[in-house]
Amino acid sequence: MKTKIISISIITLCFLSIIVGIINTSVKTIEAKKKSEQSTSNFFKSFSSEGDKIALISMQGTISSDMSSSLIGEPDSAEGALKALERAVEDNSVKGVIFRINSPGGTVAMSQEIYGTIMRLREIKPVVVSMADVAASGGYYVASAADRIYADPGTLTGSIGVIMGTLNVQELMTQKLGVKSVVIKSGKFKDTGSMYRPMTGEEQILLQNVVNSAYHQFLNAIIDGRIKRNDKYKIEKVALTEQILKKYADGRILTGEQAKTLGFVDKLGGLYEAKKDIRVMAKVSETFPVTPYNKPTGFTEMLFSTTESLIPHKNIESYMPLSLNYPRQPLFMWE
Amino acid sequence: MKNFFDNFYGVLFKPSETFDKLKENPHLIQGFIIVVLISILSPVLKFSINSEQNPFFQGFELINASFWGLLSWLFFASFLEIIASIFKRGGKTKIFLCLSAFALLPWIFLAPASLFKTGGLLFKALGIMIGLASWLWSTLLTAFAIMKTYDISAPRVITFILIPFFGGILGFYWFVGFFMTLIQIFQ
Repeated sequence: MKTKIISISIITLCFLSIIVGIINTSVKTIEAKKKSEQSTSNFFKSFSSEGDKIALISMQGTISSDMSSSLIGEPDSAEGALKALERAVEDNSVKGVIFRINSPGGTVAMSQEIYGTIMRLREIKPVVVSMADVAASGGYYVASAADRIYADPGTLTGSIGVIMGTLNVQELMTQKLGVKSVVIKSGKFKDTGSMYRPMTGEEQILLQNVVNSAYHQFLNAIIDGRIKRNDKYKIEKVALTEQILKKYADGRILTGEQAKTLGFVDKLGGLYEAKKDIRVMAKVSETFPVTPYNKPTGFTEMLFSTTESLIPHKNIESYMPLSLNYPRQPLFMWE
Repeated sequence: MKNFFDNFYGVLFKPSETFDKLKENPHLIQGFIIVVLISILSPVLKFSINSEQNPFFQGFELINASFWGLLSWLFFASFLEIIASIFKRGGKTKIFLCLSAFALLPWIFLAPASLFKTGGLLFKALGIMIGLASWLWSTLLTAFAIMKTYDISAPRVITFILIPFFGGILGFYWFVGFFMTLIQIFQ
């Protein structure tokens, strides 16, 4: 009789455990469903980590729409950062964004796309830029769209201007190698900037106009993003005047300290200060989580992180002038 | 299901005595039920009432788990029977089927262990420990079932299990080694 009672007790205990286990799993599933429905739109559901947060989005290296780099494991490339910013616009669980920039600039159109996305983002949630080693030229262009810009005293920034470069290898090709280039074109400017012949005066004027146009776009972007900004946040900000902007927008670089004095940067400080202040701007608690937001979660993240550590980033090209990677293109780039 | 509860208690707490009894009078039906119940335990512990999964698929999952559980049970018993026959101790499939099924009983403790998964890290670790203890308990009972069925001593039962294990490794190397040599010669 005793053995029967013990056996029945064990079996009943196990049976009850199964029932309680099923109920627990069911309750957890309901909670997880509710959370994900509240926090994200359907499309981005699978990419976001659960719960409200401040998104920390990083952008490293040259700003360009080079898809290949982000595919092999650089979610913090300009393309990856742009995607993350677009997600942050849609994601209701993101209460504010810290945009960490470490870039010498890049192509005009890509800088403008990122700038535009930050402008849209700041309409609905606070955005703070935290500058790392370098945030020059295009790096500053995108930063100017944020509500606040923070830089370390030694950060290199500024370099407001446009650059366009090309090579002239005519002598090398014809005299040393004996190779002659033949071009058939529909208009006289079709091969402007060709490396196989010297540039004509007319072409130089044409390209100068292109550079000037891009330069004015740069200035207007800083005026719209920074000088005309009119926000309600009670966090320290420094006013930049058009006069100062035009005086210093001659391509010169500035240290973070100089930039702060002139009004190009709002506060001296690193990621710590940026985190502290964005929590105030987003009206959340001091311990509110700040979550890296570039990388997709789960298996993809793991795969990306692995390839990131396995594939070396530096190569000989990284020691050459960056503009040579984008010949005949106006660039917001510090050389 | 006559004597089921006595056998249940006996296998868990007095295995030697109970296995002797079961050896004399093996209950294949009880063994069959135990194997089915233990096999479906894992999918059942993952069930959720409001799961988006179709109930038909949940049912199919249970049938699938039972099928593979039973197949593994039969395969394991047949495999040991073949090895036993080599040592001239074969002809006891029915007894071993019954005993090996009862040896799986400690697996039921995975049900209470699974409750710890909803707690913190410490509770999860405790749950894993209980799970490992159940596995160890069941493994020892299986070894004991082999000893009782084929009347062999404890050191021999280890040999009994290790021989096919090392035999498998040896066979694998034999097979792979041969083909690797062939490939190296003709590539």
